[in-house]
Formats: sequence, structure tokens, C-alpha cells
Amino acid sequence: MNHKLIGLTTVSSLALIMISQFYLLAQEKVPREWEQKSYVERGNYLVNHLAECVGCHTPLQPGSDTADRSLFLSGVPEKFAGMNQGPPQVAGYPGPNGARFYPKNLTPDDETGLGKWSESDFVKGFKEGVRPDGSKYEPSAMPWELFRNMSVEDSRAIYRYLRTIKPIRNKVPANIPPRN
Amino acid sequence: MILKANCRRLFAAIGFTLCSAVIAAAQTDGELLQRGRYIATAIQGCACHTRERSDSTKEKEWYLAGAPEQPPTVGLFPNAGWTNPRWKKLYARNITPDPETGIGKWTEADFIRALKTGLTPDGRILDPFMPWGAFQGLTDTDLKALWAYLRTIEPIKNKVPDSIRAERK
Repeated sequence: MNHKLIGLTTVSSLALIMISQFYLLAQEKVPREWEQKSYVERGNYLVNHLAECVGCHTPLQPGSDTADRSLFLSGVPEKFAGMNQGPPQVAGYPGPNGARFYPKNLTPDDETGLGKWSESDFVKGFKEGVRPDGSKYEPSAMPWELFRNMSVEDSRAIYRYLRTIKPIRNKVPANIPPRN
Repeated sequence: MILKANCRRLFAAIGFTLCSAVIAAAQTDGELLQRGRYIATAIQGCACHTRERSDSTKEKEWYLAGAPEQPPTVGLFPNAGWTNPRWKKLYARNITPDPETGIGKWTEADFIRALKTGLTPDGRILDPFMPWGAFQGLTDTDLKALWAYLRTIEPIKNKVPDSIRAERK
């Protein structure tokens, strides 16, 4: 009786563990090293390392292809408006039929950056591919189709980190839409 | 009788431990791959390595296979290559598991070293245009996760030409 009870308990607890483990396998898990960290730290990791936003959104030092950290994430400089030759940090990305898309100012500057964006504006941008005014982002080198798969937690982390960087006043040239 | 019962308990305990270990290992592998797939499909798509149609959408059938064997002279960057002070044309490589033209012969250690130090197993140093400087800061878990994912994608035979150095001025 006793043995049977032990056997039964063992088998059922094993089954329970297996079921719970496989259930866990199906969940998208926060890596262990992030569980204890703040949103800002996680956002820093995403922006500067994993998603590598810096490459496209930070202007280059003159005559070089190294990012100018003093202009961190401030987008294509206003003075380059109209340039159609050069790297994306100068001339933007070419699109179909003469279109041109410029990496934007991600700093918290109120007039030229994301200063007036709310967290939900930002998360919605990633999740639904729309600007705060409701217009849709066109397909461009900015991987919107990828970022819509990003977890809300990760996009929140990016937003919260971007609030901590230096605001830089720089009005990025307006995108040029495709000619029809 | 008591001995027999103890034996059973012992076997049950051993069995339990073994099962847990197997499940734990499977879970870790599964978690890594899952994290890798999430990274590649939601955060870092290694987009430079997939060629594009003229409307800037990705050519899915050439997923991560690098620039074409015969790159056009002008066009979108992933197809026609990038130009910078060091390179006249810098082409993104094939990072699918094809053994001849991709990174099929790389090991996990090769991959992690390449992303942390820029050094490839065939002795090349990756140009900093491939932002391995930023990827140096990735956690080991994320590097392993990305590698686990890259092993699962379709191997594509596509021999990317050598990049062309800029002329010295």
C-alpha cells in the first residue's frame, strides 16, 4: 500500500512537472539576466547592442563612417537636406520611384525629436506601424514588419531608455514620397 | 522487505533525477532557440544580409543569403553593396547554414568569436561596418540564441563575391 502510494505520487508528480515544463517551453520568456533589471537598462541593451539603432540614427563624424557620439541618435542632420549621394546617415535610404527615407531624430527634443511622444504613441508605432497622427509608416529600411513582433515590454524598455538620452535639436529632412 | 522498498525508492529517485535533467536540458535548448527566433524576427533581423525587391521589401527566398552572386552596380544596399571610406563595394555575406557558401562549417564558438572580436574562422577580420563593435556587448545567452536560430534556417547556395576595396587616394 505504502509502496503503491509512493509510486503513484512519484509518477503523478513527474507527469505534473513534465506538463508544466512543456507549458513553460511554449511561453516567450524574458531571459533570466533581464528579469532583475530595470526597463532603462534593458532599453540601453536593445538600443545600443541588440537592435543596434545607433548605426542608422546617429550622424557620422565628418569624412569617416564612425558615429559622432555627440549627436547620438539625432537622425540625419538638417543641413544635408536635398543630398542624394552618400551614406544613409547623410542622404537617407533610397526607396522605390525616387522615394527617400531619412533616419529620424530619436532624442527627447520637444520640437524635432520624440519629446512629445507618449509611451503608448511609441509602443503603438512599433505594434501597429502608425504614427501618433494615425498615418502609416511606408515600407523602408526601418524594419517595421519585424518590430511589430516585438514584445510590448521590449518596446516600452526602448522608449524609457530613449527618455534618458540628451535631447538634440535637429529637424531631420522630410521623407520624399515615391513618384507615381 | 525494507531493503526492497528502499531499492524502489532509490530507483524512483534516480529515475526522477534523470527525467528532470533531460527535461531541463531540452528546456534550455528550446528556450535558446525560442529566444533566437524572437531576436531574429522581432529585434535584430540582420536585414543587411537579405536582398530586397525594388519596393524595399525583403526577398524571403533569399533569407540571409547575402548579396547576389552577380551584384548589380547600382541599387538597394543589400543587393548592390555599401560604399564607405575603406570599401568601394562591401557585400553582406551569406549567413545561412550552407557548408560551401554560407557559415555551415562554423561552430558556435566560431560565431561567438566573430561577433565579439571580428575574427572569422577563415582568418578574415570583419569590417566594422558590420556592427560587431555593438554586438560585443551582447550577452552570451543572446549570442547562443542567435546561433541556435541561424542553424535552423534554410541553407541557401549563394556565393557572394569578395568585397572590393576603395582605391587609395
